[in-house]
Amino acid sequence: MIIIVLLSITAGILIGHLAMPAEWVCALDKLSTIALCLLLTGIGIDLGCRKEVFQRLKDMGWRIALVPLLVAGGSIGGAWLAGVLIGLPAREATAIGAGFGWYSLSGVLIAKIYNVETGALAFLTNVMRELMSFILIPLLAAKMGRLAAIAPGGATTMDTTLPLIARATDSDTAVIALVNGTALSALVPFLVPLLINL
Amino acid sequence: MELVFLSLLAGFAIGRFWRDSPQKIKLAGKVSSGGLVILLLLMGARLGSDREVLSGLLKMGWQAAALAALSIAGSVILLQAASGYILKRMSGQDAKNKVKV
Repeated sequence: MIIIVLLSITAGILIGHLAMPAEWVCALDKLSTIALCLLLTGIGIDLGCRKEVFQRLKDMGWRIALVPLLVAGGSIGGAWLAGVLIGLPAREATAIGAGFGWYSLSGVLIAKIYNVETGALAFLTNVMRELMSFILIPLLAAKMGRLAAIAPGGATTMDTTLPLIARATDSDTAVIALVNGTALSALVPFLVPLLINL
Repeated sequence: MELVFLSLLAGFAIGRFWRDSPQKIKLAGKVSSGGLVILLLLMGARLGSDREVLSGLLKMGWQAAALAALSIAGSVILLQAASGYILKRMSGQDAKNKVKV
């Protein structure tokens, strides 16, 4: 799985950089949206076939809310530590960490509220988070357990990384990932401005 | 965001109807796997075709890599520490189940 992920991304970068006609670039967004919808429909079909998944979620109760809270706390804490190591002010580092992988929104928010350079760094950091997630999800699922595989994706576990989580783990974990991604996506527009203005 | 939920809901409704048809479910799984590869290729192509992002990756790359890596590490450590407690009541499987890759 990891090899397929790495080969696909590398081939895509090479095609995009060397062989992509300029007029095709505009179509990439639409094609990605179509591919994502197809994947999500496939995941929905898988979930719809399994009655027991929602029973298990019911059994878990409020504990499921801990997943996005812990992922959010870990992301912001980790980014703060990285900021200390690379000499970045705490408010910039924590706001970047609060992007939770949602690079388009976090980059734009920080560029608008604070400054363009930090916005660009937020964008790149969260692009890298998504790329690293694609590599780490299958590894973490195999070595540390299914719940750990949800953590790297952050807010993207409700869309782009959800298909990979579903493939590398199971239906129960895919539902938890969806809840996690939805909650974190809702937090980004509030946490990023809050932290950058501290 | 609406598209995400609509696609999932549509799939969920189809899945309820297909519950007793393993062949169709298998086909849906194959379409999902193929779609995942296409999505990764397209994401790579988007990155590769954007020269600003590519050059930015080289300039600020190490700072962004440190921030991304430690954000991920923090999330994984906290979630893993609590995973036994969170998954305690889920029936059938252990929190530390090793799964297929």
